[in-house]
Amino acid sequence: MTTLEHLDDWKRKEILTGEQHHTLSGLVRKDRFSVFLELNALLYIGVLSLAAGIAWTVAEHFTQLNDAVIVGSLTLVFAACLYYCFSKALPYSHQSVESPTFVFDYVLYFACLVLATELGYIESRFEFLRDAWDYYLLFTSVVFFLFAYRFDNRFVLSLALSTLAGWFGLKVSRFGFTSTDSLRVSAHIYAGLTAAMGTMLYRSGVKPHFLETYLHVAANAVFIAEVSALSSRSSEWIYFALLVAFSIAAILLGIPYRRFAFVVYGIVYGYIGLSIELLRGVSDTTAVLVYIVVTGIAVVLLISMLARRIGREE
Amino acid sequence: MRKYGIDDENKIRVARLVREWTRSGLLDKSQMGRMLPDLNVDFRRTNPFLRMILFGFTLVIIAAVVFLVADIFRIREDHGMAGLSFVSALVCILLAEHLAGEYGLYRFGVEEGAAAASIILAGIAGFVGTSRLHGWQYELPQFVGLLMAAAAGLAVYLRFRFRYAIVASLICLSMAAFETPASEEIQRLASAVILACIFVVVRFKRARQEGELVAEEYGFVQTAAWLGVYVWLNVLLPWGYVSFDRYSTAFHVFSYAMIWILPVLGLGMAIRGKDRWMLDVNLLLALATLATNKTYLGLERHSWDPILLGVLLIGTAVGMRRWLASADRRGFTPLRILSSDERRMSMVATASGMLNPMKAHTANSPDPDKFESGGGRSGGAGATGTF
Repeated sequence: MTTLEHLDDWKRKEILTGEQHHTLSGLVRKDRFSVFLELNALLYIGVLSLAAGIAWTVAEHFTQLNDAVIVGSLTLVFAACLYYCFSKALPYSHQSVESPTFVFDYVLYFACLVLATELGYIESRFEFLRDAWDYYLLFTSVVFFLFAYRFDNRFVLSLALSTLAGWFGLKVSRFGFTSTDSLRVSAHIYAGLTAAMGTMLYRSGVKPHFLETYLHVAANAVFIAEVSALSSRSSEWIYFALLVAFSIAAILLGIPYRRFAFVVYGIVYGYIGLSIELLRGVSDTTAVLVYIVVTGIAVVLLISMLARRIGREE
Repeated sequence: MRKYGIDDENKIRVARLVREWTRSGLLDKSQMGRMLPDLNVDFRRTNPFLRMILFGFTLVIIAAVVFLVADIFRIREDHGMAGLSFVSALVCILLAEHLAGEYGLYRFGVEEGAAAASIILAGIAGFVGTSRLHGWQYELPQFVGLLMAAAAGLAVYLRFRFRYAIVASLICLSMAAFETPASEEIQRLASAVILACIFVVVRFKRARQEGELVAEEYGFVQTAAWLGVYVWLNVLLPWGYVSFDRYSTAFHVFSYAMIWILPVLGLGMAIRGKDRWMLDVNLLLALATLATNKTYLGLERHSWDPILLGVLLIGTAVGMRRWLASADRRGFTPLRILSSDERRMSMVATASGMLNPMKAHTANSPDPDKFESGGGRSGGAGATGTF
C-alpha cells in the first residue's frame, strides 16, 4: 500500500477528518513543498560569511583605515542590528517565542559576531585591560547570555556558552589530548557551572527548552577532559573515578528522559576511558585484541537488550 | 534480491511520516495510536543513537577478530591476508543475512556494521591479493581493491538498501579511474562519465517507477551520482587549490563551464521535480562554485569576498522568501510545515558554538600593530583573538 492509499483507508475508517486527509495528501503528493530549511541554511551561511569577511577586512586593512572609522562603523552596524531586534521583538516570555521575522534570529547572531570583532579590535589596538583581557570574554559572554534569553536565540546561547568556555581557559580547538591538568580542572568547573545554570533555569521555568544545549556542552567538556587526562598517562585515579561516575550517570539519566545522545556519551566515553585504564601497561597484541572482542561483544549485547526495552521508537 | 519486503519497508516509511505529522501538530496522539497498528512490522529496530553505537562497536569487533585470527594463525603473507580478508568478508555478509533474517534486525546497527565490514574487507582482499602483481602498473592493487569494494558495496545496497553502501560503491568505482596510468584529465573525465552514466540510467528508471519507496531510493542514488560528477569536474575540490599547470586549457575551460552548468541544471531538475535531495545538493554545489570561482579564473582573492558572498546569500534567501510568500508558486512555501525542520535548526544552533568564523585569518601575534580577530577560546566569536 502506498502512503496515499493508507491515507484513503484511514479516512474511510474515520480516523482522519476530510480536512486532515486533504492536508496530508497534499504533502505526500508534494502539492506543498517547504523550503524553510534551505532558506534558513542560506541565511546562516550568509551571516557567517559576512561576519568572517568583516573580521578579515578589519584585520587586513586596519593600517590603512583610521581606528575611529573601524570602531565607528562596527559600532554603527552593531547598533543598527540591535535597533532592528529591539524594535521587532515580541514581548519577553519564559517559554519559547517564535521569531517575529524570517531574518530576526540571524540579525541578532550577526550583531553578536560584530560585537566580538569590535571588542577584539579595541583590545588589540588600545590594550585597555592588558593582561586581564580575558575579562572581555566574560563581558561578551554575559551580553550574549542576555541577548539569548531576551530574544530566545539558540545560536547566541551557543555562542555565549563557548565564550564562557573561553573565559575558563578551555580552548576546544587546542584541547584534544594535550591539555594540562589546570585546563582539566577548568573544564570540570565550567561543565559543573554550565549544567547547574541550565538546570536551575529549567527548574525556574526560564526558557526550559534551552536545557539540552547546556547539558550537551557540559557533558562533552567533562568527558573530553577526563578521557584526555586518562590518555596522558600523568592522570590521577580521580579522573577515572569521575569518568565512571559521569558515564553511569549519563546512561542512567539519559534512558528515563529518552535523551539517547547522553546514553551515547556515557557508553562511548566510558568505554574509551575504561579501556585506556585497563590496557595501560598491556603490550601483548593478542591480549588487546581479545579484550576488544570480548568487551565489544558485551557492549553490543547490553545495548541490544537496552534497545529492545527502551529504544524501539525512531 | 531485496532482503526486506517492499511492503514492510513502505509501512516503516509511512509510520515514520505518521509520527512526524503528529509531532508537527497535523495529527493528534489518539489518531496516531489508531494508525500505527496498521503499520506494524515484525522487525527489530532501534533509535538512531543506539544504532550508531551498535554500528561502530560491530565494526571494531569485526576488525579485532580479523586481526586476532591473523595473529593466532600467524598469517603474514599477502596471499594469506587476502584469503583471510575475503573469507571474513563472506562471513560478515552471511552474518548480516543471518541477523536480518533470524533476528529480524532492521537498521539496528549490528547487521549494518557486519555488512559495512564486508565491503571494507572485500576491498582489502582485492588490494592485498594483487599487491605482488606488477604486470600493469604499481596502481593495480589499488585499482582492484577499489573495484572489489565497489562491487561489494553495490551488492550490499541491492540486498539491504543501506544508502551509505551505494555511496561507498560510487566513490570506490569513480576513484578506481585514478589508479590507472592515464593522465589526470582523463582520470577525472572517466570518473565523471561513469557517474554521469549512472545518473542517467537511474533517473530514467526513476521516471518509470510508480512505487514511492523505490522512487525515493532512485532519487537518492541519482543525487549521489550527480554530486560525484561535480566533485570530479571541479578540480579545486576538496582542498580549494590546485596547480592548473597540470591541466590543458581546453580541460580548464570545460571544467569551469561545468561547475556553473551542473548546479544550474541540477537546481532546475530539483525544482521541476520537487526533489529534496537534488535541491539541497545543488544548493551546496552552487555554493562550492561561488567559493572556487575566483581561483578558477586566477583572480586575486580579497578580504571583502566573503562579505560579497554573504550579502549575495542573504539577499537570495530574503528575496526567495518574499517571492515565495507573495503568491502560489507551484506549492513551494517558505513556511515550516514539519517539526523536524525546527529540530534540525536547533541541532545546528547547538553545534554552531563550535564554529568560529573569525578564525579564518589568524596567526598568533601579541603585536598591537597586528590586529588578528582570532575568534577567542573555544569559539569565543572573536572576542579574544590573539592580542
